[in-house]
Amino acid sequence: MFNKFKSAPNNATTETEEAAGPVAPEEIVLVKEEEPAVPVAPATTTPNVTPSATQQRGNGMMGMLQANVSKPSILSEGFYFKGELSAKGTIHVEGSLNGQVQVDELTIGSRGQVDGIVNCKIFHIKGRFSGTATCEELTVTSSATVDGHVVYKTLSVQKGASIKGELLLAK
Amino acid sequence: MNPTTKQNSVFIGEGVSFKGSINAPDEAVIEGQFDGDLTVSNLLIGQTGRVTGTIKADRVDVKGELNKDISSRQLLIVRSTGKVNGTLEYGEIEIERGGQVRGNMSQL
Repeated sequence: MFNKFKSAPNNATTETEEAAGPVAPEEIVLVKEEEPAVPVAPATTTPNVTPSATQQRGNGMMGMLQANVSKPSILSEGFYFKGELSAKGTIHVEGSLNGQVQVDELTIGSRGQVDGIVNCKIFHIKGRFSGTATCEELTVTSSATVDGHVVYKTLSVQKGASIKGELLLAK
Repeated sequence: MNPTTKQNSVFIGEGVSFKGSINAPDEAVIEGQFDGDLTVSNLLIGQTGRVTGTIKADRVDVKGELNKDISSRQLLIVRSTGKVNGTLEYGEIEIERGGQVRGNMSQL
């Protein structure tokens, strides 16, 4: 099943691959591990697997991501997650996330919503965020709505953003 | 840009320290030290400007320091050298990368 992931994100997330140079050798390692388990089955079930697979990626990739942190995890639109999330690497939230998040880079898409406590290095908010966040680099774009308490080191807010609450500079 | 010749404007130069209340219907450019209340339409705080007090404006452009309560009815821009401390009220906000904002914010 994971063979399909290797080809799909290659088209979708080319920017992360360009940024992370040594992706190729690690990729090969992972494919080898999965091959004996799932030979060719996914080829026939691709159209059905993809929509739910992207949702599962949030959970399924987590175990794999501990070894390889090059690909982002995506919580697609319509995916609702409640609980604690802890990962290395990048998480894109296009759905809804409620709870605690600890990650290197968190991007809330324009339709995404995150409620809760966030702890990350790079935080891009393009959608809705409410709660408490602690980050190093904070970017809020014009379509964003922020409600809560954010601690940051570097800040950038685009015109049109709506921010309510408290912003604190951490020294 | 020479607002000293414009009507309804006030210009506080670098090195100048002012304490009091200013009510300028048009523009205020502050490059020195200002302590007090400020009610203007357009407020421009230069890189060397330090403003402390209650500010009510339509547009605020901060390149220097701005402290205490700020209410900008339309746009509040904090440039990369800007530092804002206090309670902010804004219609629209834009913060350039590197700008520092500390305090409570709410959108009008």
